[in-house]
Amino acid sequence: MTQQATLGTNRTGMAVAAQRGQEMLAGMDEFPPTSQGSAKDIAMVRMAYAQEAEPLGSVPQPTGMKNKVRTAVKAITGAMPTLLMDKLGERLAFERTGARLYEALVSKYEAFGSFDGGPSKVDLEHILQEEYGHFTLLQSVIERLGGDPTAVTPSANLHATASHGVMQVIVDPRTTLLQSLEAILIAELADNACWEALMALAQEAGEDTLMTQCEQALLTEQEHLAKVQSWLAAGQGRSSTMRNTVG
Amino acid sequence: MALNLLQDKGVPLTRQRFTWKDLVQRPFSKLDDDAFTRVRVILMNGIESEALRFSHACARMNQDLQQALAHVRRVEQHQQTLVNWLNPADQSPLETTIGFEQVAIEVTASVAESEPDPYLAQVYRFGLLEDFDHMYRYAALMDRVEGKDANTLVQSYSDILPGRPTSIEHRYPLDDLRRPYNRTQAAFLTKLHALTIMAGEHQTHDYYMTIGPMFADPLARQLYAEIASIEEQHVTQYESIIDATETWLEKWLLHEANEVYNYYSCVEYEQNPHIKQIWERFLDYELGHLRFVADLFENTEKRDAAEVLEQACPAPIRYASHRAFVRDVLRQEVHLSAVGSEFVDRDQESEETRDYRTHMNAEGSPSDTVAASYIWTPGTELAASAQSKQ
Repeated sequence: MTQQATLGTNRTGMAVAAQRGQEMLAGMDEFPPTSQGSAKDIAMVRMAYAQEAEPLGSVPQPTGMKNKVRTAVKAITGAMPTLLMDKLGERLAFERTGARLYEALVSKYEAFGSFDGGPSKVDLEHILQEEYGHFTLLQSVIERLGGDPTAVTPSANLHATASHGVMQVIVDPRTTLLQSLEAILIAELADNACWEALMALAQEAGEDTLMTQCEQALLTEQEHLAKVQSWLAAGQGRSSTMRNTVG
Repeated sequence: MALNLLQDKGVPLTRQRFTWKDLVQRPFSKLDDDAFTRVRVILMNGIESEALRFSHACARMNQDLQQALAHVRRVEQHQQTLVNWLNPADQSPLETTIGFEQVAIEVTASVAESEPDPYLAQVYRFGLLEDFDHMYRYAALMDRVEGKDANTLVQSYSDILPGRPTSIEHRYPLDDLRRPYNRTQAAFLTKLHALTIMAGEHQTHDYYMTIGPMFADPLARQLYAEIASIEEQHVTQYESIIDATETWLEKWLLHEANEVYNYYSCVEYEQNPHIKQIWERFLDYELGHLRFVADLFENTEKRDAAEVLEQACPAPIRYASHRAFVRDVLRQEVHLSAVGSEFVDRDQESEETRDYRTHMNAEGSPSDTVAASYIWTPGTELAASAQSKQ
């Protein structure tokens, strides 16, 4: 199988069956809509449900009384420890799933091989180890701050839902390594933005050690993103520096 | 709350009404609600699904009952909708699957412990160990493909351990048929148990058959195919324990009584106030159905409904951890298989079962592959690797 899509018998467009397409359009005048309004009516229903909705869930209580006191004190000083814990849980879950995603990318490499300018197996395994390292780092940080690293925080849950499609692409045996890199790009972009946010939250909370750890992780993630972007550019036969010349 | 199944009127059928808004209510929280709320929602969806399934089969075989069945069935359709739509959108199909297996473990354990017929109690324990193993296999899938911990859903109520290995649960069709209870001699509770577990397993089968192809990972697709096949065996097993000589109306009456029993059990245990109100409302609806069908039964068959029903509702299904019971069963009965309707040691299995299993597993066993050397660990096996490196 080639890494890129090829020409074939795609039937999704109307141009493939022009006569049937004309017949479809011919029916519109004879059979008009049966209810008035517009697509905005859906928004009205969304708003009505949103007003009655409850949150996805909560951040669990800290694991000891000492930490509860600590949480209370910081909440008063505006350090937002609950938000920080929510986001730490989010990154932990994301990095743990990220390690599994890179495992799947390694098997994709083993199935299809790479391409000119694409990743080697060592490249992918290196990132896998770094994602795993971030997961273990966050585990210890959460424990140190009195949290439970086995809990799913609301933000962890939210990001898992949002990134479900990334996994669906990468574990699908029909997608190539190049196509799978398109999916991991989404994960790496999100990862960069979220580590940056976590670093800022750590700074707000006065967690200097954590801030330094986040900064280091962010540097690593920036490397991952740059590598993925360069592999995609190589796979698509374009320059990877185009982004910087726009504007 | 004491129910009288022979007299309580509940809400009359004509007053059982819904709107589309009413059908789509606030879901439970995957993160904050108790795992048993999910268990109840999943089971009650199965109970209502069975109400529809039975009603359609009955209508196809009984012209005279079609109008009465259509009336009740429309309400059951909307009850099922309202209940099933309580599942939240952020609960993925695999996460819901973990919920289905927790139903199969904890509800079947409760039934097995309470079942007065020793042979049928054995049937439930037999099925229990197989579903127990499915939980472990799906947990491994969730961990190894998605990097998620199934215990965040199970909430430490149920063990995530190997049971009777799924790869050896495959049996020749005739080795899944059991002996039925006798409709004239069996306890009322026995009949309710059989309907409850059959309904739960049937819905599990249908759910896996629906969502299996939604997975992209080829091993996940294989695993769902394999476990759906076992759920089909379980439906075969559990429907065979029900006396086939019950009349259609007798079966309908028992279905309605079972719905009352199950909603009553939910009401007794539910902690989420919003969802408890739903269970209470539907308990009243089901009492209305029961009265409607009891009258129909008495007028049509010229028999007293008390020949089929008992006045008092049995003790509710226990929505609690059955860890000690399940481990005892695991220790004592994991080696069992079945020949025809009888349970035997695995070395006495039929040639037909061995041939069938060997062929099915000839190109590999998805359930063995997914859980190769798998040990559940808090926070996934990646967390275990981290601990071992420290």
